[in-house]
Amino acid sequence: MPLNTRVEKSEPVDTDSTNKLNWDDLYVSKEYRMLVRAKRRFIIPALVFFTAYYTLLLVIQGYFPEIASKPVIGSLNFGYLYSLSQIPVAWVLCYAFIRYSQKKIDVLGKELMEKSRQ
Amino acid sequence: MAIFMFIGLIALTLGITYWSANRVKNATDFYAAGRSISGLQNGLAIAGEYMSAAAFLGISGLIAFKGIDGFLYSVSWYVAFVVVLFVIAEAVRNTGRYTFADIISYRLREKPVRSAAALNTLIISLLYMIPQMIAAGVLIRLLFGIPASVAIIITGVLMTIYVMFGGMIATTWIQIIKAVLLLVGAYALAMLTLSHFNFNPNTLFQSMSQFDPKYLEPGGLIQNPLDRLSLGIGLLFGTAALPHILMRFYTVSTANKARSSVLWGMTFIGLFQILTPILGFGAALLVGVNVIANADKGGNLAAPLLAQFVGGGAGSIGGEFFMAFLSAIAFVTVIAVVSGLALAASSAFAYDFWIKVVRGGRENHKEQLFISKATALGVGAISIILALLLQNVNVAYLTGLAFAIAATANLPVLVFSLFWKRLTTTGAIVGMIGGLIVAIALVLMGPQFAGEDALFPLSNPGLVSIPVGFLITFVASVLTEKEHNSESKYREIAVRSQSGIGAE
Repeated sequence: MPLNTRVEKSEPVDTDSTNKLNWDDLYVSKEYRMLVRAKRRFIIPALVFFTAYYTLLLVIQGYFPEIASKPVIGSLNFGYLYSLSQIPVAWVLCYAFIRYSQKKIDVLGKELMEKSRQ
Repeated sequence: MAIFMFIGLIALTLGITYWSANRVKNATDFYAAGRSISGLQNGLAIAGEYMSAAAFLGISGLIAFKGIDGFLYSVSWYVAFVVVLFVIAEAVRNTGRYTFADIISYRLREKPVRSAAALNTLIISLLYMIPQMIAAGVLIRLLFGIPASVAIIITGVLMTIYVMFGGMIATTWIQIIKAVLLLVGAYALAMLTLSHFNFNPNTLFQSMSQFDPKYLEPGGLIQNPLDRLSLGIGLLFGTAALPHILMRFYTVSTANKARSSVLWGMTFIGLFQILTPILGFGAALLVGVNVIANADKGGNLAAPLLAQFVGGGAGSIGGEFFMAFLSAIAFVTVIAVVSGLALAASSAFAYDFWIKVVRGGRENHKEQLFISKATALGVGAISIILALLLQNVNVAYLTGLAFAIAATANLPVLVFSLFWKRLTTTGAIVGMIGGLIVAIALVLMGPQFAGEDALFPLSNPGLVSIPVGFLITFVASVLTEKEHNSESKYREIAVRSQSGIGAE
C-alpha cells in the first residue's frame, strides 16, 4: 500500500537530513528571532488577558456572590452571563490567534524553513 | 427497546474497530493513526474525548442538585483550551512522536525521565478511567437491572477490544461518531426541555428561581472562595498536561492542523457546554430532585430521566425510546473516553518504558506493535479489577486528582523543557515524582478525603500544588549540574518546537 510505505519511511525522527542541520545557526538567525517575537507578541498579552478574565469570574463568584446574583436580563443574573461569556471570549481569542498565525507565524516559519535548507 | 439501541451502537463501534484493524500496520498507525487525521476530524475527536460521562451525566446532575455552580465545571473545562492552544499544542506536534515524554526526554537523560513520565501517565490515565467505568456500571444497572460488576466488565472488555485491535484509528473514529451523536442527542433534549418553557431560557431560569432562588446563586457546590480559585486554576492549567489530550496532537500532520483542530474541538465542545444549565434545571423542575436522587444518589441519571420525561413520560413509547437513545449514547461516550485513556496508558508503558528504557530505543516494528497490544490488554485488565474494587467507594475525587497530578507533576516539566535552558534531569525527576507525591498527599489530607479532620483546607490542591510543582522543579534543577550539551540541545528543541523543522 503506497500510503503505508510513506509512513514507514518517515518513522525515525532523526533522519540524516535533520541531523546535519546546524541548530545553533538557526537559533541565532534573524528569521528565528522574528518568528519567536511574532508568536510572543500575540500569545503573552492574550494569555495574560484571558487568565485575568477567567480569574475574575472565580473571584466574583467566590468573594462577591451578591454581584453574581444580580439579575441583568430578566432572571439571567450577572454570574451566569459572565460565566457564559467565557465561552465566546475564549473562542474568539483562539480564532484570532489562528488567523494571526496563518498570516504571520506560518510565513515566518516558512522563511526559517527555507533558511534551514540552504 | 434500550437493549437494541445498546447492541446497535456497540455493533457499529465494533465494525469501526474491524475496519481500523486492517489499517494498523505499525506503531505510528497504532498510536497516531498514521498522522492521517484532518484538523476537523481531530477537532471532533478532541470534543469526543472531552464530552465525557462527567461532562454530560455528571454536570447535568450536579446542576440539578446544587444549582448554577455546577456550570463552573463546564466553563473551566472549556477555557482550558486557551492554554492548550497558546502554550502546548503546536510545540507538542512539532517536537514529539507519540507521547509527551518525547518532548521532555529530548535534552535530558532519556531513561530516568521517560520512566517517570510513563509512571505519571499510567497513574493519571487510570485515575481518570475508573470513575468513568463505574459510571457506565451504574447506567447499565439502572437500565437493564444487570449487576454493576457485570456492566463494568463488559465496558472494560469492549474498551480493550477497541484499543488492542483498532489502536488510535478506531479510537479516533469512535470518538468522532460519538461526539456527533452526543451533540445531536443533547440538542434534541435541550429543545424538548425548553418547549416546556416557551422556548425561552429566561422562563426556565425564572421558574428555577421561583422553585428556589439559591439555584441561581453561586455557593451551592463550592462554599470556600479559595477552593473555587484552586479548582478553577487547576482545571485551567491541568488540561494542557493530560497525556490523552496531548496525544491527540500527534494524529495530525502539521502544526497548522494541530491549531485548527483545537478550534474545531472548542466549537463543538462550546455548543455542548452551554446546554448543561438547561439540562440540569430542566431535570430539577420537570423530573424533580427527589426522583433523580432516588434513581441515583450521585445524580448521574438526571439527563436520561429528563429524556424520559420530555419524550412523553415513563411507560410511553416516546419517553422510553428517548431515554434508551440517550443512555446508549452516554454508554458509548464512556467506552470512547476510556479507550482514549487506555491508549495513552498503554503507549506510556509500551513505547516510553519498554521500547525506550528496557530496549534502549532499538525499535522493531513487529515487537513494538505486539508489546503495545499486550499492554493494552494489561491496562484493560488492571482497570477492570480496580473499577470492581472501587465501585462502592465514592470516586468523585479521582477525576479531580487526575487533573491535579497532571497540572502539578507534568506541566512544570513540560513548560520548562520547552522554555527554560537550565532544566536538568534531576530537576525533571524531582518535579514529576515530587509533584505526584505532593498532589496525592494534599488530596488525601484535604476535606474531600479526610472529612472533618482535614489537615489541608482545600478539596482541590491546584492553587498550592501547581506553584509547588514549578518551585521544586526549579530548585532541583538549579542545585544540580548543567546537562551535558545543555546549551546546544536547548537551542535545537527551541528551534524545533517553534518552527516544526525536522518534525515527523
